[in-house]
Amino acid sequence: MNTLDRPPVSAAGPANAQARPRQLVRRLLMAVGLFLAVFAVLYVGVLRPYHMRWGATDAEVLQALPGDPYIPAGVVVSTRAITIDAPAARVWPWVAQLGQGRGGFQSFDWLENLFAADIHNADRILPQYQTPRVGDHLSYMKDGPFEPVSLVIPGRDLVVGGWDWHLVPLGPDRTRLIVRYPSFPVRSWGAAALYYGIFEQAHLVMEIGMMLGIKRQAESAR
Amino acid sequence: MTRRDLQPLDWGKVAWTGAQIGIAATFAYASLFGLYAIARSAGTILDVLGPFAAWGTLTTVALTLAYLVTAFALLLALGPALAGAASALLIAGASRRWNGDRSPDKAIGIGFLVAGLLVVPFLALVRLGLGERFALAHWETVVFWFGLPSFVFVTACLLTSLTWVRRTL
Repeated sequence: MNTLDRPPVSAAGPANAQARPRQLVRRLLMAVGLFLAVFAVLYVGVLRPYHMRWGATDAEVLQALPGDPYIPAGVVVSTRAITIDAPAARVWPWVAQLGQGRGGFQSFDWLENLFAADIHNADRILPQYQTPRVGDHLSYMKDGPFEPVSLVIPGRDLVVGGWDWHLVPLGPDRTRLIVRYPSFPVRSWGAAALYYGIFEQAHLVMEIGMMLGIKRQAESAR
Repeated sequence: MTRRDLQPLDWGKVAWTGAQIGIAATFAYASLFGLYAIARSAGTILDVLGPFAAWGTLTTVALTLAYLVTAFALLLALGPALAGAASALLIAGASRRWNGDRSPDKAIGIGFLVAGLLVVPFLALVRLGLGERFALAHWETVVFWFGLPSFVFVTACLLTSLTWVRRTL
């Protein structure tokens, strides 16, 4: 008998050997489908209402911000807020220098850089980026999309496109950072799938990371 | 040995098995990365908010990261499935032609050869397509999207080749 005509060495035999990965992948895809279905229900019912206004009070969600006039009609808007145990004058420098090629976004830059964003969070205040001006470009990634600075109220507001970082002093040593973000226009099925399927979730992780990063930097620079 | 000595092989099944190994490897890689991303982001959240204020944020970010990783893996699984099918066919063909004596050394050689035949042109095309972005300046990007997946692919080819010789010929 030729070696190639021998029965398989494995007692399981070729049929079972091929059946194993088939069962494994079928179970894997079923598990993935189940997870996605459960996540969809949980996301719509619980997670989305929570994260679209993460940390913000009812009043802050309804409050008009200086950047509101730059928000296009018909977009999805989130309002998130966090209390920082530092005066606004110590928070503002970290907001002023946000951007790729500047002080980074103070978010999870190790995630951003998986997409060649070339973003590096500064761990100190960078004097050269402390005076953003209307019309300056703020990049989201290297050689990637950018938006113009729409409004600057030094020490209080930075608005890029319609994205607003708004500082509210809460006494001498505390500041409320409110961040209002408008989605890109969702005018087609493709744009809706991209926004609701990937972008909104990715943005929530990165924006929460950014707000935590700003809080950490401002509070540690005592 | 002549070609007529060989048992008939269901090439469709071989390709399908390879495709499934590619899909399974994609999800395994994505799962490992997802766990890493959840653990690392949780460290930041706990560090800034403290354990008592962080649970809602931790849960939201962890579930969302798990979803994003799963969604990306699902969207990207077609490529590894095709690569898995192609490499399984090549390994099966090469093993039947050159490794009738079931030599593990030859199996390793075939695994490396098939992996190289697919990985080297793929990386060359990616290098051409991405240009400057495929550089050490973006080492995280290159390692995450191409370096580690290539390592997983080469390992899978080696294991498939060895397993093929042991079980299926």
